[in-house]
This record gives sequence, structure tokens and C-alpha cells, in this order.
Amino acid sequence: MSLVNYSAREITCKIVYYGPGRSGKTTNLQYVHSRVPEGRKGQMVSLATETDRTLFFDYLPLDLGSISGFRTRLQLYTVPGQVYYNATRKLVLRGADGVVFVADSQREQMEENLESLRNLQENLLEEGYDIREMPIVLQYNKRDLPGVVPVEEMEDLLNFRGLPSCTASAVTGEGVFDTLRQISELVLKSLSRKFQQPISPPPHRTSGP
Amino acid sequence: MSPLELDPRFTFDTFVVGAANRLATAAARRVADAPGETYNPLFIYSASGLGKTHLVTAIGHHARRVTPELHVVYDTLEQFMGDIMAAIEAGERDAFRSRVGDVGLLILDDVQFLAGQHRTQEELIRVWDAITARGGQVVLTSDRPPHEIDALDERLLSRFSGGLIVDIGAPDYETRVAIVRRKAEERGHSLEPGVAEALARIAFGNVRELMGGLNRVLAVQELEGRGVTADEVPAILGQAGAGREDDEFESFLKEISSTVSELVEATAVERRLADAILRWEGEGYRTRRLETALQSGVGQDEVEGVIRGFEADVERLREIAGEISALEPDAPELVRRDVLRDPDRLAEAEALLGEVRERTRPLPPPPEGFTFERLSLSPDLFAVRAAMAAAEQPGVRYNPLYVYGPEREGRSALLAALGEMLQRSAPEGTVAYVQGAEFAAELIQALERNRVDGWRARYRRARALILDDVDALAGTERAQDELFHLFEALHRTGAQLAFGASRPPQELEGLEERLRTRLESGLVVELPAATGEDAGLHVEAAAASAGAEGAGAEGATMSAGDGVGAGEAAEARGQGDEAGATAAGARAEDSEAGAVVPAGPDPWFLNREKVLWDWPYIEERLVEDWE
Repeated sequence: MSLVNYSAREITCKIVYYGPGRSGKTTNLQYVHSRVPEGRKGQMVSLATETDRTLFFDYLPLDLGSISGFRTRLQLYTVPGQVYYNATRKLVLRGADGVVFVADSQREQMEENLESLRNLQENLLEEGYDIREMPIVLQYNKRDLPGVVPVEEMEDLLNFRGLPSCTASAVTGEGVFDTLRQISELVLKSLSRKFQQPISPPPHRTSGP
Repeated sequence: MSPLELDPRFTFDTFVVGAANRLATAAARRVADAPGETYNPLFIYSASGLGKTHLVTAIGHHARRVTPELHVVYDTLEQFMGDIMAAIEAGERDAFRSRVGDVGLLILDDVQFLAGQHRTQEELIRVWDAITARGGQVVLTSDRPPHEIDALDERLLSRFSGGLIVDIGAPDYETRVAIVRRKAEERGHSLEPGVAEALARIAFGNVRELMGGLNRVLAVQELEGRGVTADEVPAILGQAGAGREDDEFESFLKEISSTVSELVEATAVERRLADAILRWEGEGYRTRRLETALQSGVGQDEVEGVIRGFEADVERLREIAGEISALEPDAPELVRRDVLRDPDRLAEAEALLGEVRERTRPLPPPPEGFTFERLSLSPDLFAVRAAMAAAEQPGVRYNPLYVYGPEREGRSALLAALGEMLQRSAPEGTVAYVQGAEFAAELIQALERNRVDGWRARYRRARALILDDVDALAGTERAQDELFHLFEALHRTGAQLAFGASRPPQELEGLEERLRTRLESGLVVELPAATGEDAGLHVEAAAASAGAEGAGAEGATMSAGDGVGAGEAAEARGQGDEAGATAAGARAEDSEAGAVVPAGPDPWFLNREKVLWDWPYIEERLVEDWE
């Protein structure tokens, strides 16, 4: 998959929502889906278990229309959060242009947040990505719940790399588009930087999910 | 038909170009510069209020200025189709169509209203074909791309998609600032610092709403006689800019748009290549080379070289197609768009041109100056009578005619006279007169240049073929093979065939049986050896003698019964030697007396086979002889 296809005048970005199980990744996509007018979005594909947990991945294609003569599309994916689906997570991560790490703001989920973040780093490394170059946004979700961990504490705990972060309540939609805007801009700006130099095919750009 | 007037305010000069409309503007300018030649149709779509009408009106103005005689019609689809329907109802459909046929540039606004109107679509197809058949340009605007127009006839969809479809996006922040400043200036107003920026920051839905906001600011300035400051702008606009923030997706889209614009703008090399690809694709050329450069990544310093090289090859392809078309307007090669529109296959295109050149090269004509009247051979000779009969009814009576006899007894002259007679009734350049050796040599040359197909096709358009000195083909393989197939092809078309040789077919050695039997299949006739002055011919000066300049030609006289002279003339012609070519017809003085030409000096020296024309180190040899 080519990110910027000048022949076809297309820009396609793949953004993966990563995070522990039940942190609200699918809810993020569902909210986006609910707010995008018909004709701008494809069908949201969601493969879930009987208990509504994501089994394989969610996929939401968004058509932003023509911008500066380029048909611009976003492909939003989620990974299954459960630990035992790591192979699927790696597969979904392949070809990603940016990652939103959705952290659960509840105190009892902090350990899972950390574990998932570590898992993200491992998988990115395994897939040949340079973590320092990969656009990542941290989303502290479920801010609407009582007794959530203060943002500063979550920053100390999870954002040791100083990544852009934002708070959200995916159920109400608060912060969802702000997160999407931040990651989209990071991805596009990273593309812009890449194209300052002669283009060379990015590593591991295969047509994964 | 009463089309709308072009709004004089909407020109290219007053159109503010930004990242969101740069492509559409470039395409519009190209169309306006040369209507009907590049993107036809040009289909521009965008949401309302983003400048479609301005841009297509600018096309109309510019095209009129560049081509004053161009008939430009600008209309909305509804109005235009209303006129058509009114004409149909008044029984003036044909008159309307003939008026429309003169249109050189048709601009139709808002074609999305075609949705579901089948009869209107049907009429539009007819109008469209009438205009484009004469090279007219069509420009369309819509609020959506063609495939999103409901219930659009497939034929219209394919016509809409046949040129260039381009959209205009919402302007980015910088463009919005530029638009506000430009419009304020056009109206003779000045804005306080930061006002244009404050206006541009407000999330208007389109440029028209942005202009509405500017109008309010300017109205306050005029009515209150003071300059509006940037801080006041949101309050003055009241609800104008509010409320829209609720639409999260639209807001998200606007913010992302400027980031995408920056990305696209920043990648100048890719942009340059992409524009070149778009341009040449639009003109129907394969752009694989540019696409490869785009994919593989070329540096800033290389990109111009790549594009220049590509464009030079396109130019050469155009020259090739032009030359082929000039040589043979119906050449089958002209439909080879896969080659003639692919700069990566330039070598193949050159080969196609070579084939056409070879095929359309004039056939070797009979030597000038030989006619039956001037032959000194007795008209009662059977061979002469047979040749005259063949000339009178080409391809009917004696076909093929095979004349054999000694080399110098007038055989070649007789065949030349036959050729001259055939040429009178046949279209120009369709009578071929060739020596056996020349035929074989031409084939070898065509093989060397890989142009056998062209060489073959060239001979196959002959209405008559006269091949003298068949003896020279003895022992050849490919030449006999080609002659056999040429014989068959020409015989089938009823072309007259005539052959000359020293002996009858059955006595010729080294000749394929299938060819021999065909040479015998018509009339085989002997031209007996000359007896005294009867056997031979005299030649009057032909027009060609005016060109006789070579030393060999001067004083050369076609001897009685001379066949070699004609042969040499043909051969010399083949070699491009003017002196030799005119030798046969260069004896004016003798013939004016009307007498049979007496045997003059034997022009043996004209024979290129026997004379060494190019002496190496001639000076040394002369000195050596002198000593």
C-alpha cells in the first residue's frame, strides 16, 4: 500500500487504535462512525465475540473527499485487546501509519494499560518500526467515570516518551474527534517530513488488514 | 437559443488560486488556451460556493480572447435543456441542432440536475456528439462527481468521464485570507490589520458565505465611517460563524484539509511529476516512465531531466504520427496507439514509420523515352505485337508476358515501352519496372533494415510489374520466394505482369519450379536476335535528357538492339545516379532526323557492375602510371 499515490492522486492513512481490552477502542470508532455523514464512510466491519469483545479487529474506512486534488482516505482499525490475540494485533499493526493508544483511566486498569503499552512497543519493534518515528497519540479514556486517575498521574505512568495526549469519554464522544485530529495531523506531518527527501519505499509496507 | 452572458467579473485574473483549486485552475487554463485539444470534457465539481462558476466563466472569457471566432455558449443545464425542449415542441429540433453544431465551447453549469431526466439526457447526448464531432470543447460543472449523479445514462457517464474530472476543495486558511484581501481591494476598501485573518479563521461553509461575512464588515465600515478592528469581527458577524462548530466531522475535516494541503504542497518533486503525469495522461500518452520515477523516487536535480526526456520523446512520437499520416492518411499503423502514444516504445514507433516510408516509396518507374512508336524493332515482330496487345488490355490478354532473347537485342527497350504504355492508363506511380538484380538487392536491403513488410507492401500496390533480367534471380532463395508471392498477389488483383530474360523459363537454371511454371503460365515469346538495322530501337530525347549531365550520358547513344542501356538506366536510377538514369534518353540530335539510330559507341562504361567507379588512392595510381 502506498500512502501517497501521486499517479492516482490518493492519500491513504492507516490508523490503529491500540490498548488493553475494554479500554474503549471500538467505542471510539463507533462514535466516529455515528458522526460521519453517509457517503463519507464505508461500512464499519466489526468482528466481535458473543460478549461483544473484539475478536479480530474493527475496520472503519473514512473518505475525507478531495483535498488539494488528492482523494484522502483514512482507514481506522482497532486491535483485540485481550492478551491472547497478540498474533492478530501484530497483523493489524502491519502497515500502520499511526497509532492511538487508548488507555483506561480507571485505577484498577493501570497495570493493564502498562502491559498493553509494553506490548505495543514490542510489536512495533518486531514489525520493524522505529518507535521514535511512529506517530502515536495517547488517549486517556473514560474520563466520565468517577474516581479516575488524574491526568498528571497517568502522564507520569504512561507517557514517559512525552507523546501528545488527550482526554476522552468515547461513550459521550468527548475528545474522540480531537484524538482523531491529533493523530491524523501527526501522520500527515510525518509523511510531509519523509517527502522532503527522495522517496524510498517504507519498510514493511505490505497489504495487511 | 438564448444563452447566458458571461459575468465580466469572473476572469482568471480575479480568481484566487490556492492548494484546493490549483489543479482545477491549471486544467481550466489549459482548456481555455486550446479548446477541444486537451481535456474534453472538463468536468469540475465541488460543493456550492467554492468557485466553479467563476472558473468556467473565466474559461469562456479567456477562450474568446485567445480565439475570437470561437462560438462560446455558457448556460445552466436547466436553461439549456429548456431551450432544447422548446425547440422540439416548436418542431425546430433540427434547426436547433444545426445551431448547436457551430458551438466551439459549450459550458454547462449545474449538470447534477440531469439526475433521473431520461429524455433530457437523451437530447444532451445528441447535442454533445454534434459538438464534439466538430472538435468542440465541453465544460461541465456539478456539485458531485459524475458517478454520483443519480440515474445517469451510461453513455453520458462514459462521456463525462472521458476527459478530466477535477474537484475544487474548500480553501485553506491562507487562501481564505488572500480571497478576503483581494475582494476588499476590488471593492476599493481597506481592512484594518488582522481583519482578513479574523474573517478567515471563522468556519464559514464556503467562499460565498465568507464573502457575506466580508460584506457585513465592509457595511459597518461604510455606515459608521470607521475601520473595523480584528477583535470586533466575531461580534459583527454574530451568528454567522457560530453553530457550525457543532458539526464535529466538518470541523475535523477543515482542520485536516490544511494539513493535507501542506503535505501536498511540500512535496514539490512529486507534485511536478504528478502534474506531468496528469497532463500527458490527459493527452492520451502512456506515462509509465514518469510513474516509475514517482514510485522509485527521483531527486530534485533529476526530475526536470526525466520530464524533459519524456516530453522530447512525446514530441518525436507526434512527429512520427504526423509523418505517417502525411504519407498515408489511412495507414493501419495510425491505430497503433499502444505504440504511437507510448514514449517508452519510441523505437517501435520509429520502426512503424520506417515500414510506412518503405511502403509508400515510389515504385521504380519505367525508364523515360521508350515508346512503341520509337522502337526500331519491327512492329510485325510477334514479341512486339504481344507486348502492344498486353499494353492495350492490361492483365487480360497475356498475363504474364514473358519475353526472352539475347541481352542486347532490344528486350529491355521493348519492356520499357510496354511499361510506358501501361503507365499512361494506370494511376501515377503504380507501374513498377525493375531489373532482377535490382529486385534482389532491394530485398537484401529491406532485410538488413528489418523493413521487409514495407518493401513487400510497396510492390503489392503495383498495377503492373515488369521485371527484366530474370536470369539474375537464378540461385537466389528469398528473392524467388518473394517474387513468387508477389506474382500470386498481383495476378489475383489483375495486375499486368511482364518478364524479360535471356532464355525461356524452362532453360533458366537455378529457378524454383513453382516460379518457373508461373512464368510460363501466360505467353512466352521470343525476341529474336537482330538482323541488320531492323533489330533495335531508336530513342528520341525525352524530357529527362534535360538532366543529362554526367560524362557517361554525354555522347552516349542507344545502339540498335541495345537492351543493356535500359537495364543500366534502371540500375543507375536505383543507385540514384542521375547521369546513368538519363543516359537512355539523352540522344536528341540523332532522333530528330527521324532516322534509325545508328549503332554508336557501346555505353559499356555505364555498367556499374563492370566498371570500378571509386578508385581508392587515385592520386597514387596516377603518379604511378605517369612514371
